[in-house]
Amino acid sequence: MNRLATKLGKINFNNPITVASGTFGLECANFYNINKLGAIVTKTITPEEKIGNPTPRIYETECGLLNSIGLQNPGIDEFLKYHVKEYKNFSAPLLVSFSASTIDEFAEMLIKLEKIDYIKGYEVNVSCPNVENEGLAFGIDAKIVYELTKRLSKLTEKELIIKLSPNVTDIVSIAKAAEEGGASSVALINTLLGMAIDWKTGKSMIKRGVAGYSGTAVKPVALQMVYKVYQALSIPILAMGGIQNYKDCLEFIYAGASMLSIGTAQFCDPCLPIKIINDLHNHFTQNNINISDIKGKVWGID
Amino acid sequence: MKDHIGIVVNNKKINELYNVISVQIENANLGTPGQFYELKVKYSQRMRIPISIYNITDNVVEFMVKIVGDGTKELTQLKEKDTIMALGPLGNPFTPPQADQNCLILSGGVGYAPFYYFKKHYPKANITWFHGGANRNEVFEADRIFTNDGSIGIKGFVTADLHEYLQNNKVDRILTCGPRIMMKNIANIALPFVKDIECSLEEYMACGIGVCYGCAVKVKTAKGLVYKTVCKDGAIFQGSEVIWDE
Ligand SMILES: Cc1cc2nc3c(=O)[nH]c(=O)nc-3n(C[C@H](O)[C@H](O)[C@H](O)COP(=O)(O)OP(=O)(O)OC[C@H]3O[C@@H](n4cnc5c(N)ncnc54)[C@H](O)[C@@H]3O)c2cc1C
Ligand SMILES: Cc1cc2nc3c(=O)[nH]c(=O)nc-3n(C[C@H](O)[C@H](O)[C@H](O)COP(=O)(O)O)c2cc1C
Ligand code: FES
Repeated sequence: MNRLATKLGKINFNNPITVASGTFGLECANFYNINKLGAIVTKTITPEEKIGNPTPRIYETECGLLNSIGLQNPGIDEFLKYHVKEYKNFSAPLLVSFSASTIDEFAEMLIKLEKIDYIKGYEVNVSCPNVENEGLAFGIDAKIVYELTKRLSKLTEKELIIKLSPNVTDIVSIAKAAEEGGASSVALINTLLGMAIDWKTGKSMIKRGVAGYSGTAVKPVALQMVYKVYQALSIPILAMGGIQNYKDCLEFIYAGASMLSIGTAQFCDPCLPIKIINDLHNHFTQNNINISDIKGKVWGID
Repeated sequence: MKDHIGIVVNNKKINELYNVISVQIENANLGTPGQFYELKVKYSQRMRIPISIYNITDNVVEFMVKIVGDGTKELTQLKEKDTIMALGPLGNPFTPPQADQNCLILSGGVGYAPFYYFKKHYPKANITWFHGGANRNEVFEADRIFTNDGSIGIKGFVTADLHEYLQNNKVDRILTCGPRIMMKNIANIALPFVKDIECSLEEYMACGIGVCYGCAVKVKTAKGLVYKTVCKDGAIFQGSEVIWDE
């Protein structure tokens, strides 16, 4: 019996550990056998090439990392022509992260991606600005998330994961909108918003000022969001935010996660995803349990 | 490239600001001048710190570390036999010098580090080395020394007499590492004389292996302006391709 086996809406995975979009690349194959991952998630791709934001783009702050990469990527056509092939020979299921600024663009991208049979699913990044909605992020408006998901879910039979932004008043309503639109699972959380200033000079440590905040500090925020979304939804959750070790993974599973992404913590240890898989395996074996025994079973809450 | 467990064999204070840390690392002899390691004190939860190869002897890598903040301070506090994670060697080396080339090295502050190994690695190369620092704590052995406060060597920046030097001497290549403003000035002064200016750039790094695009530098290419990564595409770039005013 594989104690680590898990499932999102449509795909079965050998283990629940994958990598967060934007924090992983095939360079990681220098460090471990990436087929051991539960799945591979690509960096977000967009309809056109994005050269990315001006520098400095990253800064390590208290208990976390600020990043302002600006979705630097070659664009979908270049991705399909050159890069996607590099993933073909890996057996770990490939999930492609993508983003756009109108619903039509999202749909056009999905149609192009559907032609590649070894792409097993999609992580739809709705944290970027929506030009149809005055530049506000897609992910902050339940109605638009519903419309988008409804449109995309009709175009594919594959795993359709909507990745939610935590920078909203009520993440549950957005998650519900994704479920009602036909998402097969949700991923949360993308980065929070943060900032850092050099106290000596007053200069912003990030050229764009406000940046995405990830790493250790965001874990409690992510955990309560996973917990609340799990209570309200019936589709599975891919959880992330500050995971450092297998104990963090167990917390997220108790809160309701079916699968987990490792992000920023890889910058401290590139082999971390594999170590976590081994540690989880040992923990489950020693305690004679599997994921479904504990998923969503947090207790002690009145 | 691998994440090695290094063992500290020596950690020597050179002055108030600088240490040289010697670390035994598996297969370290494979490292070449201009490459670096991303170091992490074993149980630290901080991200890694990129540090250039300063010297290599029998799989012991020496790192010259200048204390500028908590991370570099933590490195200088390591004791003999402590373990340290060393991801590397990373990045690309300086181009090896050719026999008939006159190389001019221009370093500033801790930008001295990679050239010590460069000089040792290529003993037959024709090298002239100018080094500048803020004060006497920031200067090390070189052919010409500059300090901002004039406490030792020539008072001024390492670029003080560069224009004149290039007018009077045949220089085929410049290699430089130091503060960005210094390398920018060098590119401005020297490009009319020397096409080949290899600059070792510094940027904040996260992954160190080219996956996060955190350590970007804007460069001119045939396709237009793009961001390349210092950790994977660099750290060495041509002075003529870098957009210095980004
Ligand atoms: C390829 C490469 C090779 C390097 N080689 C060496 C070396 O051989 N020896 C050495 O001592 N240092 C080297 N550095 C610089 C070293 O990595 C930084 O000084 C170190 O990361 C600072 O960490 P900290 O926690 O001590 O300082 P922090 O607390 O992070 O910062 C302290 C101060 O230093 C500035 N700073 C920190 N990191 C950088 C950076 N990457 N670029 C510009 N400013 C920065 C900050 O703005 C701040 O003012 C290298 C950097 C790169 C990218
Ligand atoms: C450098 C960096 C780049 C990122 N790029 C993306 C991206 O392209 N698309 C995306 O959906 N999320 C991106 N993220 C967010 C992560 O996928 C993840 O949701 C977030 O960092 C929280 O997890 P963590 O705390 O474990 O890193 C990025 C995060 C970092 C640190
Ligand atoms: S530090 Fe991640 S790409 Fe260079």
